[in-house]
Amino acid sequence: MSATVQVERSPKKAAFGGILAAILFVALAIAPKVLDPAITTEWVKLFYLITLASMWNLLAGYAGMISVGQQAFIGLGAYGVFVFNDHGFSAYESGIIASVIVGVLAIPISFLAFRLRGGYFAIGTWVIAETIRLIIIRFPSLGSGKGRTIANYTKDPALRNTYTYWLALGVVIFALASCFTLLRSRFGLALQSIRDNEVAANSLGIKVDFAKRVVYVIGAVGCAAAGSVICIQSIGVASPDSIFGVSYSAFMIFMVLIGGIGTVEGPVVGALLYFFVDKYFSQSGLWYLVFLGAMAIIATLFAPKGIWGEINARWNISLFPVSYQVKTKNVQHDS
Amino acid sequence: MPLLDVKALSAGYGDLVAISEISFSVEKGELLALIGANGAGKSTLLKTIVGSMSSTSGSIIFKGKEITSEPDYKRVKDGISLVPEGRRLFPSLTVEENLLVGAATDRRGPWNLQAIFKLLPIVEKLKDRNAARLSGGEQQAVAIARSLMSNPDLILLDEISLGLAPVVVEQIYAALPDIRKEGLSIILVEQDLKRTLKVADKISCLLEGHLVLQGKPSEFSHKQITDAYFGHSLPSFSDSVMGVK
Amino acid sequence: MILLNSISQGILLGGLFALSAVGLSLAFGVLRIVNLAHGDLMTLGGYLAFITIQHTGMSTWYTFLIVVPAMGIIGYFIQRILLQRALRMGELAPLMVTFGISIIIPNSLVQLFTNNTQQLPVGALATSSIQVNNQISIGTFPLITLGISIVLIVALQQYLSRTKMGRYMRAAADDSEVLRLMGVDHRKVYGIAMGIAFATLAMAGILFGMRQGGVTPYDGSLTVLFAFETVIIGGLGSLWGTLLGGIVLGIAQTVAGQFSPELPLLAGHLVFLGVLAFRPSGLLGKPVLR
Repeated sequence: MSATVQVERSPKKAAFGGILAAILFVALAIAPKVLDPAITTEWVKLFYLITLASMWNLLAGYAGMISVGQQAFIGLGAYGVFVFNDHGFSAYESGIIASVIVGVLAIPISFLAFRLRGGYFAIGTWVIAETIRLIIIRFPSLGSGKGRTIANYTKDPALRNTYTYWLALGVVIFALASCFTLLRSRFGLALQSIRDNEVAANSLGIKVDFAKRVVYVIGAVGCAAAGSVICIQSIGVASPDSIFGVSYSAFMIFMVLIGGIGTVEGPVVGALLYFFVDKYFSQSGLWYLVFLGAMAIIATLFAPKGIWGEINARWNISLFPVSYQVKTKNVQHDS
Repeated sequence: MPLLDVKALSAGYGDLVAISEISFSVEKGELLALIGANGAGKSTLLKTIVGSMSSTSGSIIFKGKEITSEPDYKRVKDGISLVPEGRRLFPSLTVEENLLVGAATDRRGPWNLQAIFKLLPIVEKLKDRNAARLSGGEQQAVAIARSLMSNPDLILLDEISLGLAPVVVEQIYAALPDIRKEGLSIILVEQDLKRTLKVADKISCLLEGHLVLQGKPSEFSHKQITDAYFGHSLPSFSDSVMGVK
Repeated sequence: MILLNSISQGILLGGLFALSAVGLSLAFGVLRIVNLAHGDLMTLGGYLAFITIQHTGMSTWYTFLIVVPAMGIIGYFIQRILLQRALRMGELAPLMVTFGISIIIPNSLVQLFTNNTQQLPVGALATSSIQVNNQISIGTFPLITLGISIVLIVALQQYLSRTKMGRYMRAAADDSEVLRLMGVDHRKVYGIAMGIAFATLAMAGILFGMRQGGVTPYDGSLTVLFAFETVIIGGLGSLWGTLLGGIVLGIAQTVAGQFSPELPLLAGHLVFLGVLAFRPSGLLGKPVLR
């Protein structure tokens, strides 16, 4: 008897997931032409929630960086729309340009943030977000402390809803696709080793700081894109406190902890869950947030893998597999 | 009744079995030398006896009481103390503070600061020095002293000569008779056979997690001991365990 | 000069920041736990004081005798029941648990007490002051706060260096596994450390509330940042550094306030970021091994 060992990455599951994704994409893309705008407008929120959750998951679940300050980039993405829109770009183009610029800004910010580790890194990102908010509100052209509306936007509501929807769809697909590609690459493997043990990863020659910085920048771009979608959907920002609010970090943490940290599907599950809880319970006061906070604690202590993680572990289901598995095939010889 | 009675004790890390079905006993006042090559399971056995590691099966009876499911800090209060491999002093504390923490059990006995200082004058000299700034030999002396401060009935010494100059090791071994004078029982884990065999009342030899030799040093020839240590002249040991002919 | 007056006020404010940061410093020093709910727990302390006043009519100062020990006990049990378990699950799990707590507390408070400020009366002390010379006047209440802060730091310093439990805490910070080999249940030591941390932050929370004229549910998201900045500016691992850090932050805020009421927060954050950029181990801290 001899056994051959193969290391593979669930090629069948990946293919299945890929086909599923393609069908879904087509369906979602034509949705605004078929469905009531009230529905597709809601889905915009779901899309940016998924985007935010995926980004937070990338930072925390794969690079081990717990950030409580992503709202810095959400806010910058939103305000970036104003800046470029005022200079003649359409709101949608402004969102895309702003997201890229925010990504560039994230590079110097990362040097500051990386001075800290673990829990102190977390609060440090919060301070950075607050600092950015306080700087932004000093600009009268950006509305100071009172928020402002987008100057040049598509006047026709049906068209506006469709374009906003397509931007949001593009953003979420970009977010999920980058997560998936990134994590399936050698870079993804390096990231996971950093998450598990930075010192050991360093000694293997992995450029730890560089890898973390790449993830930090991608996270910034994704969050800025989501922020621009939020701004465009409301045709502006009601108050800087809300767009730069730490509650966004709270929502991201809920979605990822409860949905499943460290998997590509987990944040999607978490976002769906939060979307429904918010839809049906946010009208009756803030107890639903207390409930979500308690759920986050329970998930951390008793179900650290989150909903999708537990499903994945028990039944080995994976729509977007990123991890390798060892398969042995026994070959019988006649003796 | 032996002071310590270990029956069919097994322990491991996940799927890896580190010690398997070990049985032996230590009488009051005895010095048992636990010998074996690297990875034989000696440290694991000590850790399992003191409770830092849980056993997977078997039992430990100390002074007539079953302590197998007791947590480590309770066993220390019962009278077992481990001087861990690598000394592991508290680096933010001074030598004296390390000793004071060692007395946390509040057990009655001959050992207190004065008695320790008399036994090991070097420790008294260093008492205000920060523990992080000691040489290997000094750390070892302090580590042993710290364990003595808990007034144990049984002290487990894990590789106390590791990494130390021979001259320093001599000094430490020279203190052993004074330590044993009060009736303290010792399990001594060492790789240096010569020195160990000179002080041991009994020896137990481990090989790949199994007990392969046990008894008084005088009962065995030097060759028998080294064969057991290295696993020579036994049909390949793992084969015999796996039942392969 | 108005500047001198500002600076003296900044020093007094710094005392309060330092008091609020001591608990954060202790929790991290002994348990390696960064408590994201630190500010919200301070607010909780303030609300407990408010409830006590509502039910007993006693003066705000007397509420310390009830709220501070109560929060200490709450801290002990939160550590033993929630955080101890989280410590076993990995480095970042306690952070997530404290984060969950930081969501539960303010949202519950809003639901139970509305968003309005609940009064914590200071009485005559609120306006009394000592005139040092014709430029500097020192508020009595802030002076008392600074005094409490210094006394507490000295007391804690002595506790850690001279008492048995203090020694156990320092030993636990070094090596909790070996501490158990000394016959000490390290979970009890952790619990007491957290209890002390909660007790001190309760003190700070009530004093903050008294200073602001009352407590509001979301105060915590500001005070946690102040406490944290105080610790980092002063340097990890040094209680006196925490005092210095508080004073530096306090002065930054009050001096900036002279130029515009919108600037104090930003100035404080910028000073913090500056320390982070140019002297990351803080003013009195031990150099951080990277």
